[in-house]
Amino acid sequence: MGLIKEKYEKTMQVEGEWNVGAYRYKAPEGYLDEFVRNFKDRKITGTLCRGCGRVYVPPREICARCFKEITEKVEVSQYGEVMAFLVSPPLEKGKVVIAGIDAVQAGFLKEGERVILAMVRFEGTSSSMILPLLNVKPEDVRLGMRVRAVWAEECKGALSDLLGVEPAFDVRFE
Amino acid sequence: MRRNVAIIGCGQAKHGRRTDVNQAELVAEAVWAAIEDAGIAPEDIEAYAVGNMQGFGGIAQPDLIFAEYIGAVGKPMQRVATGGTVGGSTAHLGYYEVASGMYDVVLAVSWEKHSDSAEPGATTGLLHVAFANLSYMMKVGMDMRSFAIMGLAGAAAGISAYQAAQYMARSGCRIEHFDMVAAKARRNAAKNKYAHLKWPNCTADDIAKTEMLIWPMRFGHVCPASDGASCVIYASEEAVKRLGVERPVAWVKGVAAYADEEADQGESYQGTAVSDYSDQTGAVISAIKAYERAGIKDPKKEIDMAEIYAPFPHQELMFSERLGFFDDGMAWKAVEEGVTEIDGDFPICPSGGVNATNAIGSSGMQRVVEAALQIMRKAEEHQIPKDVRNAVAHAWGGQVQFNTVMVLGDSPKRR
Repeated sequence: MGLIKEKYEKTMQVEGEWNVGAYRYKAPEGYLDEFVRNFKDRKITGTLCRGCGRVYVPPREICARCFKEITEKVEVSQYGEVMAFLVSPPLEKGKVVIAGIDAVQAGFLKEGERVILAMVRFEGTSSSMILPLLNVKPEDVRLGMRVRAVWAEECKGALSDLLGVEPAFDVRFE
Repeated sequence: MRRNVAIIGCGQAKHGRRTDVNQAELVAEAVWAAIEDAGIAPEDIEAYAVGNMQGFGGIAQPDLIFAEYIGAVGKPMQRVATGGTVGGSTAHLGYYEVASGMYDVVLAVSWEKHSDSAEPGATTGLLHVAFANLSYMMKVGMDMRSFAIMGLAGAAAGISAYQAAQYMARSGCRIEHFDMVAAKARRNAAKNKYAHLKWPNCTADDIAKTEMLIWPMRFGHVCPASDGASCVIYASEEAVKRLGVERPVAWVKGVAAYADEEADQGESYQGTAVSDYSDQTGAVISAIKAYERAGIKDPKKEIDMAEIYAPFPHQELMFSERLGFFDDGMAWKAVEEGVTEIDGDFPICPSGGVNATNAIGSSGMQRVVEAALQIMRKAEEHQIPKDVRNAVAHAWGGQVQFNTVMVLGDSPKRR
């Protein structure tokens, strides 16, 4: 049938690299600015849809459920719920390679650390954010646990100000 | 009025790491196998529906270079790209073309050649999907640690891992049940000559010994990145008679597809209202609508087997509930009892499924092929022993929000 299959045992690999130069992506102007700017004051801002009452964090411009434009900004709670979570094994070099960069080698992630990632829904919101779950042992994490936001010591108004979440106070019968 | 449509021929390329062929030859392998299976001449085919996940195989538009390999020169040929769902969507397109009365004989083929990309899927595929959003997040101050964490559990595999945790909370099943499903996939694949990850007599314990990649997902739970192509040929009821097809055919009784809002993050890091990935409303609605069109009232009784798009084992459990084969949260009990085995009461993925063979573009179409083969009783070593009157082929993909469902039967739906 095919030419290659009949003539050769296998295909050959042709190495190639091509710098595509500029890649222009049209993003909505400024809709995340306020969300990120308010991180400086350690506030989480969402958008409230007047059509269905859903609150979106991160903000959403058009509600996908009622297809209405959302303009109203609201501050939401610092507390939330763990909707799902993942636990990484202790990290090693060569295990997390993204776009050709070894994240452990480059120092973005620490060797031996176990990263816990949580899908967090902040109180009163309809959406969720993936954030690192900090200051807790993997065996103490459970689905549905209450968590609160953890901020950088010095907040600059950038996405990286929100370090993650940690367990909220544990109140038990004594 | 929709016309009755039959699948008169099926073809698959051998799936696996195929360095002996290029993309065009891989696709041609499935196409000519299907033409031979249907027992028709290439001239009988009036139109081509082709499908491929964009950019995963190193070439952005492979369909531009192989019309002559599949006999499509001088005929209508359209490409579909709906992410992981693409095989299901392409199968639907081919069906629409015949059901609508536009053409009488249509060939639908879809494929993937992961091994052409340096890191299967990731280099050219996922990165070009995520590039815009990542650039935007960096602009608003995402640091390199967060970027690296995304690499730890990103894309469909990342979302699927959260989904697995949510399904556990919803159903009460444990990781051991994922092990059982993955072991079944590898055992069944060992009986399928086209499958990739074959492991005869694989047990749940074998899977449990594999490395935990990110809790709750083990290495043994993850599908391979395969090369492969799958193909079906559709014919109208009139064409089946005209072409003199005498062997058993599989009739398409009903199809439905549904798109939901994207999960987790939308365009430019916007929040979305999907925060339970195991909910899969799209699969539920697709199934209800497809059964209604097929005249199926009780899927538990009337459907005999299913090929579900489940790259990860929890998805076989989750989707088998969403598609109405088991009550909510009960699928893992059926797996414990062996109900979903090849010789069980309700076999699921007797071919080994997507968990054992995942050439993304091919996978959705392969579900249709495998369901049709079971109806035609041509599945050879993995043929299920019980009668197959009705079978379901499902595909899933996108940012976890696309679902397609096709109901196939041994006789056309009477109207």
